[in-house]
Amino acid sequence: MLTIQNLVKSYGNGPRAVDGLSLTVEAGDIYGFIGHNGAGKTTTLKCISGILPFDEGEIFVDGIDIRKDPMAAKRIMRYIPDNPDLYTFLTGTGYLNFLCDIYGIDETTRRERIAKYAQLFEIESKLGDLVGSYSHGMCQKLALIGALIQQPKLLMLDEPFVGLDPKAAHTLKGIMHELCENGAAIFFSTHVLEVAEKLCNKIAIIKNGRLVASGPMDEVRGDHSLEDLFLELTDA
Amino acid sequence: MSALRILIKLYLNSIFRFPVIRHSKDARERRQAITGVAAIGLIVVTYGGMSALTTFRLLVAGADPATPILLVAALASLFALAMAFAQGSATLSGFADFDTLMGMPVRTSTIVLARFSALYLVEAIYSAAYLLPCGAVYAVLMKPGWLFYPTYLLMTLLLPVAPIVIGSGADLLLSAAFARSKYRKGITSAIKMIFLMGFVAFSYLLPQITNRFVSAPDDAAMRTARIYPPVLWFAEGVTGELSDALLFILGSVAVCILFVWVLNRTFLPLHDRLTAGYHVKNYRLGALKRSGAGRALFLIERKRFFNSTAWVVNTVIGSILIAVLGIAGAAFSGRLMKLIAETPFRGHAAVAITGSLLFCATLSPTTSCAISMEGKELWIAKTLPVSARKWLNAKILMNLLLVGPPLVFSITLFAIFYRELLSPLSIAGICALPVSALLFCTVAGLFVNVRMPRLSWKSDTEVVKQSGAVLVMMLICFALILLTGLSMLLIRSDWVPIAASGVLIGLTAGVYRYLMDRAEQIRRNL
Repeated sequence: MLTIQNLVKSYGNGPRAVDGLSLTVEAGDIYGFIGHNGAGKTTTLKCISGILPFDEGEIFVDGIDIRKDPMAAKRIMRYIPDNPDLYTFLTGTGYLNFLCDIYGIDETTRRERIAKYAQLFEIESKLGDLVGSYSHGMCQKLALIGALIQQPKLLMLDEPFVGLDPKAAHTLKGIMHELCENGAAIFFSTHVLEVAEKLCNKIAIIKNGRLVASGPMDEVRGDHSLEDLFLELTDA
Repeated sequence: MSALRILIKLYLNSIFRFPVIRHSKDARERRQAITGVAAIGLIVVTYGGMSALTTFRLLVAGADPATPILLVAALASLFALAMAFAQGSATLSGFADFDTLMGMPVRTSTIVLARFSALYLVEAIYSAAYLLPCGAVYAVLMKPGWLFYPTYLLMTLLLPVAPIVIGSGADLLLSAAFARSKYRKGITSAIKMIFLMGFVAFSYLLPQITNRFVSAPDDAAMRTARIYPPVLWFAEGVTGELSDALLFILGSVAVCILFVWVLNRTFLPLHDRLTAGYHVKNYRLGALKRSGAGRALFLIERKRFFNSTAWVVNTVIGSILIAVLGIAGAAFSGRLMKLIAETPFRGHAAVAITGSLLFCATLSPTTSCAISMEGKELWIAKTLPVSARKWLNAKILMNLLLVGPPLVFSITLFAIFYRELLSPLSIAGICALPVSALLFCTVAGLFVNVRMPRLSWKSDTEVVKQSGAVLVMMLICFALILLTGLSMLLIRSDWVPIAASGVLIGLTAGVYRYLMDRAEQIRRNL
């Protein structure tokens, strides 16, 4: 579903934020992406989603080269940043309806999906309020609903559990499993190693822009706990 | 005291972007920040030149020595009032550091005083730009005693205080009154537009006012003093009346202390009210209307525009003026045509109409800050599966639909009501030049914003009023008006507007093609 080959990204004349990163996310994977602050996780996610241009390498989403046909790639993937700044001048419904217009979702389907996910995240009564009045967690929920109503093949999330209340975090985990069972793939960054350990079937650890370990969770972790492995690899 | 000093420095740095100029490693970002400061410098020099010329003209014409000072002080006060009304609330309650500061051992009074000081210092720069050249010309021509200099300097620094208090106080009250309304932005924008229209109308009357100050200085001074007495105290005070000087100084200080005290007492409840926002009770998801991607993008652009009071106030003025011009021109056509026919200016009617429409159509295109206004929300446009061309076209369409209809309406009125005075070719020029100038400014505004985007901002006022792209575009529009106006006046041919339109259409096509050819690259690199 997602193939990254030798990705290189620098900001200006600075050092490489991402340095020769390669990995593959397959359909049905819940792929965790962990690393210390400034390791290059967000930069990688932004390069995949088309927010940032990259210097070298190739990225394919479901076989589509995102440089050659970014529109086709964007139609099947969705990215949610760690601190989603949404259109504050719209109501929650207005924002979701705008996304449905962009993705060409018909009236009946959009209403059903918005109602379903708004109920799951317990935000339906707030959808008439302006996004500008939302808390961080509510913005996160709205951004997630916006991504889910499109039913993407590849969902990329940057620190998705930060700001979510425990119930919403639980709901999101359930939705992530459901999506992957239906053939989608999820690639997400997190600092919460316990969540990654329980939720992901595959994991990648990044340090100073370079991938230091990646693959199925059991293989990468071996006999260690994920925390021990992470500390060992990133302190080395 | 140190907390106050630190906060004032912080706010001024945020407004003028000095840290970006000094420390940014991004050359483009640095260049933009420097352009912004340079543009402010240019505005200051322009104001200073205008003020010095007015003072010189009045004193040489033999006006009362206090008259030019009174006129310039009145203008500086009015400008400070307009600026404070336009952005006072944003500066006093809009900085995003409220939560951080309230969690620190910093007194509320310090925060209030720092924000007021930041607002004051910015206004004081413009005020000094008006008053210091006026004082210098006065000093050279009238040779006052030594006491004039410190008194003038002190009173110049105090002049903006009262207008700031009145303007920002009114803005705060207005924002608080409509804080919980869904249409608060629309209501406050409309009220500010009415105020701005008054301000623009006053600007148009300025030559008449200056003439009145020359012909009947006492009468004009008394009229001004009746509206706003502090300017009379200022003028009389700096020219020797000690009691007036004391009244002005003590009055300004008292007003400042009172405002800061009241603001300090009401700061927290006021902040609560301003940030409460609009909430719907018992909301139920209703029917959802479907639009195409292009229309959806345009609707977002339109909502973003009308949600920003500063953006609306800064740009809608051109459209309103065009409509007013057309309606007034049609309503008074009989009288105006008779007047023009009796004067030697009969041949200049087309130039006047074309020039007026050209000026209004290019006053302030929305596109010059349309990309900057995306701010931190730009990630949405970058990740959506819509072509960058559609995204850019939505921004172009916004300005064209804002200015185009009133422009076509007014052109039609002029063409109908003034057909006896105008040749078919001059009517074609009246149609072609303002429309082509509108197209050019719309596309050029977007081009300038692409080259000078300002995506990191705390208040939309920073983008709409202070960003480099907006200021550069103002200069481009000014140069366009000057060049076409001079060409029309110097080469007296009806073909000039047609030829100028051709050039503008060519330029527009070139810039538009550049934008469309590189649209994806432009959006990706922002």
